Amino acid sequence: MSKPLMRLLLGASAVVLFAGRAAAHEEPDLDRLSLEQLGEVAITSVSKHAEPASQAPASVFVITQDDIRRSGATSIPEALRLAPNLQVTRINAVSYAISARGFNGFETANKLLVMIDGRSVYTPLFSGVLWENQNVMLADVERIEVISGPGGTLWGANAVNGVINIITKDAADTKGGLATGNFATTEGSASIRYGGALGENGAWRVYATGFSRNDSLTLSGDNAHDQWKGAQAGFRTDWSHGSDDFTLQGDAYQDKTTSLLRLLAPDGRLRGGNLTGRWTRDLGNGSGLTIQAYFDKATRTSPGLEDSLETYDIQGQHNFSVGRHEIVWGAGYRVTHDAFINTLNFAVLDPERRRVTLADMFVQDEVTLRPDLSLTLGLKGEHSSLAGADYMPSARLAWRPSDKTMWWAAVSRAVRSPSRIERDLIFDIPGFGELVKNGTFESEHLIAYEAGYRGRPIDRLSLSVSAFYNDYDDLRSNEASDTGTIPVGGGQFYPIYVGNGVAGHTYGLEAWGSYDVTGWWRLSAAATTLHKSFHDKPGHLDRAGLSSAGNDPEYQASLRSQMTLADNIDVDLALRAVDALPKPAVPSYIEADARVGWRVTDDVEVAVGGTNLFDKAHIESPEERQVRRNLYAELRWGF
Amino acid sequence: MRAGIGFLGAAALILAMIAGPASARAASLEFPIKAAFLSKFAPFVEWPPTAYPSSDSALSLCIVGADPFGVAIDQAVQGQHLGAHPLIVRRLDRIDANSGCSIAYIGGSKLQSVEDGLAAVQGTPVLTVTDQAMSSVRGAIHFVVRDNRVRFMIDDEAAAKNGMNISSKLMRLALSVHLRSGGRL
Repeated sequence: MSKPLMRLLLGASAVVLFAGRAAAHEEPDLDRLSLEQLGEVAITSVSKHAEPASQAPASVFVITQDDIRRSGATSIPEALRLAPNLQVTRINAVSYAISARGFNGFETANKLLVMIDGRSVYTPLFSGVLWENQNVMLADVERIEVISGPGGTLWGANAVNGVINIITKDAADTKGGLATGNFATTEGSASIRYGGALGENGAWRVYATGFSRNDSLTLSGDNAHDQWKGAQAGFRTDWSHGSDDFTLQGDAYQDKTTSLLRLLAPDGRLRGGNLTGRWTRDLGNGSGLTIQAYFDKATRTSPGLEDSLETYDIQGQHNFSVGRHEIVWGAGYRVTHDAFINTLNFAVLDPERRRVTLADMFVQDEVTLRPDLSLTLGLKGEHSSLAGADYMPSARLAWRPSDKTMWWAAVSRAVRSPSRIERDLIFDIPGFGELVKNGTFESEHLIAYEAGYRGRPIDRLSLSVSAFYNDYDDLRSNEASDTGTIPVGGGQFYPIYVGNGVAGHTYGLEAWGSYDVTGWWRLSAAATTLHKSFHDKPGHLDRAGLSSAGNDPEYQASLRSQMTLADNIDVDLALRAVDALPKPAVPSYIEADARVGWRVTDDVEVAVGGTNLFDKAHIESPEERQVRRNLYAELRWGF
Repeated sequence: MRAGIGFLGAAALILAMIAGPASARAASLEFPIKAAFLSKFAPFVEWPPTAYPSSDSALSLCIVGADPFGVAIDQAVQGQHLGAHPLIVRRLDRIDANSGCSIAYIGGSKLQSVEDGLAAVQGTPVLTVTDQAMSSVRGAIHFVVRDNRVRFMIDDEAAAKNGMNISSKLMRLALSVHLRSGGRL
């Protein structure tokens, strides 16, 4: 009885929805950095935008441009596999599920904040990220900061289990032309960028990029007919005037897939665009002011279905020092207009269109208690028009007994406010009644306890180890309503609604390190473990069988070798192992990637490589689609 | 409420837990990075052949006036060579055409302003480096902090006046380049 119901709700949302190397760069050894790299090192922790994440007292992994280039990745999700503190699961040719510290699954990975140059990209439709909508020119990415653990106090809404911060290069760093081509068996892409100076104090660039992904395979090895292709173009300008810096950037994209909605609705299309403006003023003495605003529009359509979202966001922050206190405070306001119009079945949102507002204010004080000891206290208040007000305090302590060592500990409260589906989904079959009723779902809560070490215990070795214990409350449940049963197809169904009936905890370890065997050879290893325990809260019964807790491996591990031979030949090998998923069951897997790149001149590089080399195809998610081996040849030409 | 107590209790516990010995907290990397830059500019600069008295004479990196680096600059240049020329650090109160500096970081002081320092070596083979953190007067290379990172601007005209050539690779890394008259990238 509960299973069909669970399937119904999950099915309803599914139908509706389907729509390293580089370990922590702690205290870099400046002598060994090139001029390019020196210009990329963040110098102080003055603000949330400029904070050198690699020095923050949190579990942080930084993916560098060099790592991305050497991985052969042609999409953001594939590049994110470089971060050991993420679980990246490929569902089919189009979709990914990505999470930190558990809750993975297409629909349950709803506790991450993902930003591209300060623009938040999770969708309020289900609080997850539609990764297929997110594209950048990877060669122009400066770095990707991946923070596992709550970041809600400073970083914004939905940062319950982690924050992914994708940062593209300043236009001053992308002058000249760059063309890249990746000719591959399944994951091809091509891009071109050109940039130049804008007077003496500014720069601009424009780019265009396109990709094509071949079909994934069904379990029996047949073509799954989910290939897709798309293109994106955009620009970025940065200029400064006195102590003011300005950035204006934007992107537009259009993608097409043969079966975004799988069998139900062929010919899915994604279209969208965004425009972001940012103004930063240096007020001197380490204080500064930043104001940022953006507009983002994304539309997913297929016959019978339209999902569209418009986001308007403005935020400001001010940081300054007073004695031993470094204070950052700010506020933000976001308005979203969405529409979800489904004429394929009876799973609809009521109302179909909604305006949701999200306002927040935050203040953070980093107090230097002693020269080696700093305490960061933060408090954020958030008000959602769907769920009212909530607050997110956090306390972080960092002890730096030497330049090469940091111990840290943190306690944080995080909140995930309801998504549109959780609040407004109904399943109303004329003649039968409402199988899924409008609920009263409220925010989910987490109190996270974390501690960690990061540093360089011996020369040439960098290491990061973090432990966490997460205590969750008020997680989503599907509960039977007490309004009596409805006969459907020979059975009796309780109408269900979305409640907050699940609680539980997780704990685990995240560890990674890298060792420079010689100046030209770096070895990296990483492992994460996850233990989960969830239960129905007293007086509740989750008819979905605790499925909102996700479907996660107990461990992940990876090994990576990066060699640079004769100064201009890169040889990269990577292995990753992912434990089995329990429910629904997916077997464990081990895969290997390899790449050989030859930088013929400073401006020309050719490479060949492959990803997922061990198997012709392997399965990563319960969606019964197999990810194929990919072989590629790559060309980069700077002009 | 239970959650609230748990949160505060844990915060108190963690505070009580830590009480170790003291040592320096990682300070701002701004000047160590500038020092590293200064030690690495030489290979990208061409001095006129007359600039060296002999084939293995030292290349002087002069810190003129205020010294914001301390030992960071000494550490950065340790063991650095340009060909056979070892790079050494010298600290001067003021600079003139006979100071024998190949690279001069001119921070300025009461004894000699940045402007006067630049004027004193104009026309002599010195790569002048200035710093927005000290003064907004610009030499051939001018450090700025942009987006929390140390960057620099290049005034190739100023380099040309001192008879020097800056490589296009270094120019490409600059935030902006003021070209010499008739020059091009």
